[in-house]
Amino acid sequence: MSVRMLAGWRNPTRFLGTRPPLAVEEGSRAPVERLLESYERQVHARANLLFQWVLPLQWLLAVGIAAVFSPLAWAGATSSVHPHLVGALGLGLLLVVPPLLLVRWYPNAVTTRHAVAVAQVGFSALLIHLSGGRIETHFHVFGSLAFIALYRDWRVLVTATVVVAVDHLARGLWYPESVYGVSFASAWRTLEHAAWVAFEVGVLIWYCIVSRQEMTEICQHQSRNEELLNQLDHRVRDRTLALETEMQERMRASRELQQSEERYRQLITNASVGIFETTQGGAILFANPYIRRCLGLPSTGRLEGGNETLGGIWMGDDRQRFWEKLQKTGELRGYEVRFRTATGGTVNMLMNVRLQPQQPGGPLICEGTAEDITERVRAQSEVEQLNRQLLDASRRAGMAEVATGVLHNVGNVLTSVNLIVHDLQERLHGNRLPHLERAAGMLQGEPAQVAEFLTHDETGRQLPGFISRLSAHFVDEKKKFEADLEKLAGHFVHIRDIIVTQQSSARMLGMIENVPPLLLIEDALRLSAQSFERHGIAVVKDFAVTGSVQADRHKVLQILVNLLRNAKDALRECPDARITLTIAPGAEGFVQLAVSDNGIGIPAENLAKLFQHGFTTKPDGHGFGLHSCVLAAREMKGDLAASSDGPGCGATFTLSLPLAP
Amino acid sequence: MPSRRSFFIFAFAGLWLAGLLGGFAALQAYAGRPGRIAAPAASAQAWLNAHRRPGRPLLVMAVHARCPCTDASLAELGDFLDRAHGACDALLLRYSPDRAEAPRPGETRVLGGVTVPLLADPDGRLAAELGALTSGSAVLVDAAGQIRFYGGLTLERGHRGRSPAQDALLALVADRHATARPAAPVYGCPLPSVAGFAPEVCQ
Repeated sequence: MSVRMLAGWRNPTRFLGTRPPLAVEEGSRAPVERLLESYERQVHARANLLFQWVLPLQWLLAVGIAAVFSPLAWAGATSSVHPHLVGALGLGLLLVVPPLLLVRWYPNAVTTRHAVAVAQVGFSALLIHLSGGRIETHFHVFGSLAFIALYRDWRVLVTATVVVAVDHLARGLWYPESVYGVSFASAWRTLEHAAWVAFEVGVLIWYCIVSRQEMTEICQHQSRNEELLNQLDHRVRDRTLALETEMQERMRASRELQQSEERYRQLITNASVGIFETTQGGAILFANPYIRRCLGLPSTGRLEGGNETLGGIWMGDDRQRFWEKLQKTGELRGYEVRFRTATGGTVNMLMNVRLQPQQPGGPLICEGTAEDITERVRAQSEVEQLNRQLLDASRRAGMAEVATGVLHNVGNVLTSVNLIVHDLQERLHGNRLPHLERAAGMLQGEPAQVAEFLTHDETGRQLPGFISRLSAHFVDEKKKFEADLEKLAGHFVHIRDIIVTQQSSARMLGMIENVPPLLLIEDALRLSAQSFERHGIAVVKDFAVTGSVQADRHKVLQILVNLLRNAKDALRECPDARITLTIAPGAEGFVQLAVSDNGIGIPAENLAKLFQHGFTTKPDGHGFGLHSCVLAAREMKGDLAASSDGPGCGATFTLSLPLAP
Repeated sequence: MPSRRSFFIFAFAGLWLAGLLGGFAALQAYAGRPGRIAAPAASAQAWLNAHRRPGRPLLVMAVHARCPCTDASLAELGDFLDRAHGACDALLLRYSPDRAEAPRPGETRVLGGVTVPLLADPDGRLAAELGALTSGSAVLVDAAGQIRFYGGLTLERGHRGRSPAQDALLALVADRHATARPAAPVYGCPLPSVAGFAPEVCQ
């Protein structure tokens, strides 16, 4: 026997070539034992089921043997039932019924297995006896032990072996012929039989132990498999739940998609904007009813063809320009184009178009929306024309405003001039030049007479003094005249400045230039200074910007003069009339020129309507000034805004102008 | 203290095992109980010599045709004849309750390589005369015509197996001076009683 076999003998599982039992983790011991118990129950159940058939069959066999070979016992010519038959029936019944009852009532009890084992080897003894001690029948013992081994419980084998041993030992001692077929059997013969039985039982016990180890190992694997299966089951259940949820979500999404598609279809069909898809070649891949209606195309059906049938809607090289621009930018927003309709008319359309990603080898396709703006274009054209007219009128009105201001200031100066002239006239009319003329006539004649007259005549004696006083008078008169003339000259210079300012503004009419806002304010203030002075209005300057703005000087002057006049009007009857002129940075890239007053203020409800055409709060106003001002400001890419904290709180008008670069 | 259930289990197991032991003991007791046997009558000597070939021993066995033990007795007879190597002749007396089963004239049976004539014993008289009251009983007359043995060849009812009687027969056949062994136990069914013939019963 080789060392390997010896090693295998000490380790039955190794001898059988199977893996040794795996170590059972502490956490899985209970499941393994549970599985092992379940497994053993199955094994016991199978063995029980076998013996449920085998025991009764052996009973029938024993009865059959007795009935065939020894049915009757004879005494001469008379017979009776043979004791073998009675024994087979009675002993067989005793061997079968109790174990089967235990199998039925206690299928897993170890007592049941022991009872079955005893019954099985009992049948061996019975059959040996009934067969007349035939040595061949002894083989039944070995078969019985093998059958009992099906329980895989070595303890049961021990019980069966003990029964067999006791039976053979007892019979060998007292009835050797019944078991060995000889009248005398030595102890060696009993030992020989026992050795063979021990040989088989040893193998079977070893098999039982190995089998149980294998069962344990199988249960360990099964426990792990069950654990894995449980985990898998949980995962499958979770995944199934997730899939069901996902399916429901998808079904819901599908329904929503269908509804969305339907809504989309309805939207496209009923959209008041054209939706289309077209190729560079002019083929219209899709066009909703709106755009078909606009272009005079068939309302339903496919729009086959390309340049030949649909290319005609484009005018001139519009399509080429359109595609060039679209290919350059990939997207066009607010692209206006005029199409020729299939009915021979024209339609203006505003398109928002996007270039689709080009498929390899496919045509260039764009998609987008188109809106019929024919009416809008026409209305816009009319509005533009009206605006032009309005601007023209505004310009003229502005010029008139400025001219009025100029004339007003000039008039004021002329009034002063007129007063001076009237004063001069009055003084000229009442001057003492005739007195000088008469005194000169008194001094004409003979020198002697003149001397006589000067010395002796009362009048003559007063004449030198009179002339002296007259001379002083004329000197004084000359000084006054010179002063008045100087005043007149100043007034004329003032008039000239006003006219020069107006002329310089008028020269720049319609021209955007870089001009310092300070200069604009000063010009406007110069035109209105006389009026402010006369009405006792204080002017406060707060200039924080020294740069230039881009503006039409004349328009700015027009706006500022208008604002200053409005401020002056708002300060009428105000005790502490004050106008604050501010130049400050505005929004990014803008400068704010603000005219603030502390006058009557503006109600909130009027603020929104302040720049509307025709709105005015002045009894003699025509509601045109501020409207034209805001138009002019916007024309210069600026803006005009008004703010007021309410009646009595004054008002501020802010002109925003773009900063010069 | 064993529980009530354990008590019942042990009691039940004890009763059951006792029943089994009793049953087997009864069977064994029946199997080991010998039948009656008697010494051959004086008149049997002449009958035996008449059927014996000169100078050869003869073993006559009386059997009951329906007895289950007869097969074992015949088997042991065959074994003996085989072991005797033709040194002994044999004769079978067969009693049958049914006369229709009586052996035909000249019917023989080969046992142990020896052709054994069958003689009918319709009423069991011949057997009774030979002292064979139980099936399986045998009588040996030696070559000199002396009855040297009578009794059974088996050890139990229906059980085969070499018995001391067989060894004694072989010794008697081989050695005419060997000690005779009369009244060996015989195991089988009783043969019919013969009216007016009451041999001396040995057992």
